[in-house]
Amino acid sequence: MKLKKTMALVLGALVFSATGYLILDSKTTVAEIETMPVTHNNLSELESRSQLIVTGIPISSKNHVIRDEKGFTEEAFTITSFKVDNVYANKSGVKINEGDIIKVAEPVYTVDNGLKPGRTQFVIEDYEAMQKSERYLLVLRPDLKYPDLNVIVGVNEGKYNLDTSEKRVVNEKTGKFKDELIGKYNIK
Amino acid sequence: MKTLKSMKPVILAICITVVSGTTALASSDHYHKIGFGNEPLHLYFWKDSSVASYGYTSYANTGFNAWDGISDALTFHEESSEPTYGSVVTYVGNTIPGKDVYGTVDHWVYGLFGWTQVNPDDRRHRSRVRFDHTNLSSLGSNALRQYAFTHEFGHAVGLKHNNDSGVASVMRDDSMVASNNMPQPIDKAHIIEKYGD
Repeated sequence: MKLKKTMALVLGALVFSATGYLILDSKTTVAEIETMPVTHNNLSELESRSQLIVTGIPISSKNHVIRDEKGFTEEAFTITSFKVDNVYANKSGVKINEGDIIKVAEPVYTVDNGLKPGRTQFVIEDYEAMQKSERYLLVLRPDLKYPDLNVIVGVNEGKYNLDTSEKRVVNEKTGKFKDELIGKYNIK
Repeated sequence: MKTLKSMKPVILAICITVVSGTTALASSDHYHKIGFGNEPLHLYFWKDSSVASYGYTSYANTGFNAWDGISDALTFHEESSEPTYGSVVTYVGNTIPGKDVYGTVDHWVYGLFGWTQVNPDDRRHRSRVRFDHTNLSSLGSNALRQYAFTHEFGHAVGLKHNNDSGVASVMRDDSMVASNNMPQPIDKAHIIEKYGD
């Protein structure tokens, strides 16, 4: 009787712990990656480093993490499929039309915490991943390792949310670049 | 029983004091809560062969050693083979895929199943510093390249960005001032605040 009671208690504790672990393991916490993004003194500098300036909407994203033999991340970012609705500048040599889908690397990635429950999303300071169905202006250049992948120039200096419900800019400089780009290309 | 009951307010007061004290030591806008820790610390610095291959040995040495001697509680030495605990390791690559950056620092703990990346605020065993040669080489001067190296090593030893208005700091990331490419008075003050004098 005592043995049965003990076993029931142990089993209950195990089930409780497992359930608790599963609940905690489903959670994602956000942490920063400390970086020094390339910064630009003026719009001309920003544009000179870019090959593509487009507007459009992100439609899907995929976590991209490659590790070395010791487990350190060699490459870590999100590949976002971005549907272009307008091309304002294109020095890439590849024709891009309205409706085309391009791949954009966002400096955000998610990793499992191993034994510790949960996952961690690592993101460059102040960067917010693009949200589906919101419209963005992107200043892009080809990735040096993956030429069909586009990198956001200057991180926060190359991505702007055009959604009228949220005109978020990271700082005074990015706000100035956004206004200048909108004015120069008459972006609606 | 009576004694325990009467001790409750004292125990509660002690707990509040410990928690408050820990929180007061730990939190800051300018440095991470724990990182390698807030107690006296000896760090091991190691450069991958890529640092020399790309010609950045002196920048790495200068940038890392710039943080030595500021606090008696924070000392360093260079290792010839890759260390594990309390390590700051450095690499240079032609590019850091997917990111338009000069450099990046991430933090890791070593456990039963190997290395796991952690939040910069959490306890770490290693800070890994990586540089993007293509972007670094486009900088206008050696002084600015040195800024990038000193800046990233500042993160490795626990400092956050410091973009406070009107303040000279090598931890700014909204702009790079070549003449501030070594730890400035405010940066040194933050190191002493974190580690002690």
